[in-house]
Amino acid sequence: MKAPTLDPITFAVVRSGLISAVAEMKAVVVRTAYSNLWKEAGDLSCGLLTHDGDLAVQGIGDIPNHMATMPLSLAGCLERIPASTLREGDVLFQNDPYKGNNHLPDFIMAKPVFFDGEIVAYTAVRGHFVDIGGGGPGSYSTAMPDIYAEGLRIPPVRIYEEGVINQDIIDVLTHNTRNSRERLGDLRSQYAGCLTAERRVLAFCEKYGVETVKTAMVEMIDASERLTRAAIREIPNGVYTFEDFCDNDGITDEPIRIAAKVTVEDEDVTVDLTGSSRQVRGGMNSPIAVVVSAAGFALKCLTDPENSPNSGSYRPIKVIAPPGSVVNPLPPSSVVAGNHETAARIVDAIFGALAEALPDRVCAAGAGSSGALSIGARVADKDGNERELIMVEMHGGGQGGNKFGDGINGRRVNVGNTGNTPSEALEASFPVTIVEYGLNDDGGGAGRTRGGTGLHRILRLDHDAIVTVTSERGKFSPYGLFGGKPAPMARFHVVLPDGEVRKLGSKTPPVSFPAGTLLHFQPAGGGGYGAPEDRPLSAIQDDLDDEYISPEAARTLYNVIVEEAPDRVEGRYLVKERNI
Amino acid sequence: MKRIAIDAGGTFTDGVLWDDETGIVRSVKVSSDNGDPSQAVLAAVEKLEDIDSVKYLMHGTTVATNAAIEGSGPRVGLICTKGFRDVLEIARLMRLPEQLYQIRTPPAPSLVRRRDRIEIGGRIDHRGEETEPLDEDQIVAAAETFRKRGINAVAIAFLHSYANDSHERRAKAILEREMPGASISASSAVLPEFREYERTSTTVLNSYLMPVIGGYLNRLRDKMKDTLPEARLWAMQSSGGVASVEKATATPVSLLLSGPSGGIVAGRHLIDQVGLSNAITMDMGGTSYDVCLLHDRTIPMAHERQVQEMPVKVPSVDILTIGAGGGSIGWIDAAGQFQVGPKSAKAYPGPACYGRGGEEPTVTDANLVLGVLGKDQKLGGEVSLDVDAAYKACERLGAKLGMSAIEAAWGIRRLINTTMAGATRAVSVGKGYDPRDFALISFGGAGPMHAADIAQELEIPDVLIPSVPGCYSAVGLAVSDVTHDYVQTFISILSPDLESRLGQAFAELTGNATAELDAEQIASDRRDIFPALEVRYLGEQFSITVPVPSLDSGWVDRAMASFHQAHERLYGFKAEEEPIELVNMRLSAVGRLYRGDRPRRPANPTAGTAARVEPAARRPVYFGPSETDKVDVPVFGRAQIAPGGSFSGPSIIEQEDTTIVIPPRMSARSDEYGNLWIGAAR
Repeated sequence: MKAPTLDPITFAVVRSGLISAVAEMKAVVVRTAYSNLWKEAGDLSCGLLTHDGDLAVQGIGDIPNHMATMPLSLAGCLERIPASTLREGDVLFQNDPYKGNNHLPDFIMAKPVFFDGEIVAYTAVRGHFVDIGGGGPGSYSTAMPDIYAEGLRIPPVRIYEEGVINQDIIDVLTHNTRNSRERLGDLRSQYAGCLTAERRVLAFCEKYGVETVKTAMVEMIDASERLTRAAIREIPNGVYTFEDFCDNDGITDEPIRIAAKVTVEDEDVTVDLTGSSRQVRGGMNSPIAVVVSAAGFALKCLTDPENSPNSGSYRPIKVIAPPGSVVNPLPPSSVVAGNHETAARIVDAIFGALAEALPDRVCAAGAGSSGALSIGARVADKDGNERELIMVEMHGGGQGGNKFGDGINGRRVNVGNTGNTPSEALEASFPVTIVEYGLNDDGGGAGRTRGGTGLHRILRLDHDAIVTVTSERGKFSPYGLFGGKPAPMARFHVVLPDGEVRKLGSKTPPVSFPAGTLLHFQPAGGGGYGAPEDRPLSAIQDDLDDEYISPEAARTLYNVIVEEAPDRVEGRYLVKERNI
Repeated sequence: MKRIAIDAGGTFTDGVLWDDETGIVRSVKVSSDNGDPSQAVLAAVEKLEDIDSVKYLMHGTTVATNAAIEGSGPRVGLICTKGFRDVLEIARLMRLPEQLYQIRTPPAPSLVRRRDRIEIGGRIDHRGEETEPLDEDQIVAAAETFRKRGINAVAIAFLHSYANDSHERRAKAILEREMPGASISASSAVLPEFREYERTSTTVLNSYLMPVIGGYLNRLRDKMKDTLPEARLWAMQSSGGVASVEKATATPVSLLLSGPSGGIVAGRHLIDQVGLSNAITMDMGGTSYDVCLLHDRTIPMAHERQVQEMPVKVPSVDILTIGAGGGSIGWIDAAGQFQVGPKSAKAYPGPACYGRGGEEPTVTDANLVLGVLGKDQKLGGEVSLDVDAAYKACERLGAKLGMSAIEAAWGIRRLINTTMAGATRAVSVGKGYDPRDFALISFGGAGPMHAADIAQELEIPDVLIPSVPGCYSAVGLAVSDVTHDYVQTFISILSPDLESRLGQAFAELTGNATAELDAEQIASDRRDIFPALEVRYLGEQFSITVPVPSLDSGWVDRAMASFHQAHERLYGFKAEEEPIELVNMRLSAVGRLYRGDRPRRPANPTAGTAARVEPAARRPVYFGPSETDKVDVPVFGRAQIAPGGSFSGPSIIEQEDTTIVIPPRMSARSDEYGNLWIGAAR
């Protein structure tokens, strides 16, 4: 049955109201959250879903891989707690990756919105809990052999029952997570966000009628679908393939293959990941919800990047992922880094496949990793009480070059968009000193347009601490396109207080280091686009003067003659001409 | 005593001659001179007449804003802590929310090129302790590099300088010695708050603007010596207070968002005048809609805004600006959805009715087609309005939607009203205020055409239109005070034990304020000091500013109670068992320049009711999309409406630079100050 169509004006009125309701929701969550990861770095997302559980509005700028999974997470809730049993004031809550969730740290909270006894919508907030128990502070190790070791898994529950918080579940949560006071602060902010959007939706139902509001949500989704389908029509029909690799799973050192076959047929796209590796023992498996999200993100970037997406944007995209593979693991496989590391590779593979069809739209591969660093330190306060301080920071940055310009330096790319925490805030909150935080030397792949430079952080541990590294691109570089060079690989190492240098892998399980250890954390940057020989000399000169590239790189990668010129005002090196 | 206020905007420069006893004496409007804005300022001053005894010239300028937006300022250098030269480029690492899926779109380039960001050895930790001495030789070398590159504006931003400014002060002294005459600012002086990216960005912008604003204000001051020999020049800041030329030149970043501040100050003056405590101000112009909520006569403050993707952390009036104005375009997106704005026809070519090549229908075109706007009204200077062009533009849009031209025009008007009502809701309902407790003050060229509709949408009982809605920002300048804002980061769990230490710290800030007000020759009986605390639940990042009305014993307890209350109002919950963390101490010092005014004319409730005033004209106006919604309404000139007069809608009131709509079932009356009140018909 087709929903009755609203007049264009009423529809526009309600649509803009619902979009601003979600914006307000997000503002409230950010302002009341406790963890640095939420309030400074913004690792959370907000959505408004229809009574059927489709995503109608997502917060502007929300984390892409949080969003496309939202309907699946809600469906997971409703499978266990049917909508017909919900009562006013109930709030759903869960983090089970096998019930449509991303990974254990991400919790979805969803509140059914009742009007006259009927559910008209759901307001939902997903946020990344800084710790969810399990094998190390920050719950971020890929070296866990199964989901039980990864941390606390809460199946779909009512965290509030008719407006009253379920203290039993809160107690389970606080008994199984580190620094639980912070978790509860974040949880309160999720609830405040759900309430905010609910109030606004109810006001619209009051004013315009329930049916109008429900229909408007459906029409918003249909409109996004039309936009996406129109854009897919512009892609030449065909079958496009590409494969890329992840370093390893944190338990063995075997590379993980991601194979993408993208079939474009008129206004439909099928992403077939058959041929990707079998599921792995460590936490690099991508639950199907994450895979669908990653494919949705990749196609959104290449089709209709300007308009805010919702369920309609993803309808034309079909994903095939064989059960038991790394892109559709079976329980109880561990999954923590599948959410953004494996997911990023899926996106890279889809971009790589479509590069031939869409050379104007793709970028060469970006950093391809969130570059997650977790540090836990048990610090005594002035009364001698010990407390676990947990820092989780993301570092991935640097976009690949594209046909029209250089890749962006030091900016998040791909499915994640969590920001950084100011160095001043990190030093004030955790026993670390940030020695350096900046762009890498020669950190982007050479090309006619240069890959964006990646970034690094050097920190000194001022207290004994447990360090977990969850990153990528330590063995396989972000690729270049059309003759562009790949970006330099990620590098991680520590310098122990006695001067010993120890290399770390891109997946370093929780390991203890003494105070005084220097930690060098350097994810990759982006690949180049087009042959470096075609880069204009003036751009190479600028890159030299701004020290994005070294004179050696100019000589060897760009094949130009560089002379030392001590009297130059803008820099010490002069680009003379290209070697022939 | 008389004063002059000149508000120089992009299109017009407005002037007001103000008498402290009787209020507005005269207002003028001249075209702005974008080559040298001071020319238009002087032209407006001269046009005001009888200005011999003027002691104050209050000036609002967009020179700083334009320089930042157009990137027309000088090349800037930065010296920063070793290992941190990319802070400005990495920013907060995330891509812009609206560019989440636009993988090829680069962010705005950093204001300082990488080669001009020079790292200096030396470290202060977060407790303010020196852990590595400052490398002074590197600063001397940096100065040499800057000199060679012709750089004459430099920012200094070292880590943790909010906790200890000694390295920055030393660096500044060295740079001043090595680079005589250069514009140099240190982050600890501009913004002593933690978060290195935001502090660096604000400081860099400050250095960037120093030569621009310093040059402009000094030039203006020289030029006005002949016409206004006794007048002292003051510049409007983003906070809604004015500052001396010296102060404005040292911290020009505080002028960056001053454009809409004047209107808000005027709004507060207006509610004082008519005896209200709460109002929402709306200013609708050609491209933007500015809305601001004043609760209990208080001008709300924001401490972080964005300019060209750069954070600017200076106190500014908390105004919500959205892209909705007379030039907003009605269009259909690729999915067939009807949209209005934020695309704008801008000043050129402007709406279709300007006849300068605009093809798409704008809000102004819709108002013209609906009869809300008269075809003889002058807009955008001397443009005469082409009704046919407006009608055809609406007709073209309507055809795509299966609507008539009138229906399309009505749709545009309704959608823009919804957008503006949404913004108005965000500053009221969105922050826990009930709009029914507020009056809506409307000004700006386009505001009074839409104000009554927005009020109805939000059930706001009264709309107030001041007597000179087109020059209202200038009125705000005339009645503004000198203000200085101070901040000191002080991170600690807030408890009554801290009362004496905090009292001591406030005394120090007060000392700074006193020195500054002394320098500006503000009499001691005209000074007010407003201390406040920025606090949050321990763990939250965003703090709430809680005023401290008195420092009498027990004040910390009282501040804690008002924090819980404010948290509940803003976010819907409070957590009284949670510890409260103090982040910043703030102090705002006010020198009251203005002494208040009296009614301009005596009230005369019997004069000028509609029954006795003959309308200047009549015209059909659509108050809905169909022919049955068309009403023949009387059109009055604003000058015809005498104080105390009242009449009922539907009717239209026209004045030189705006049109006021009184919809059906509403009525209007004029008060003794010449303000027009619109509300439900009684």
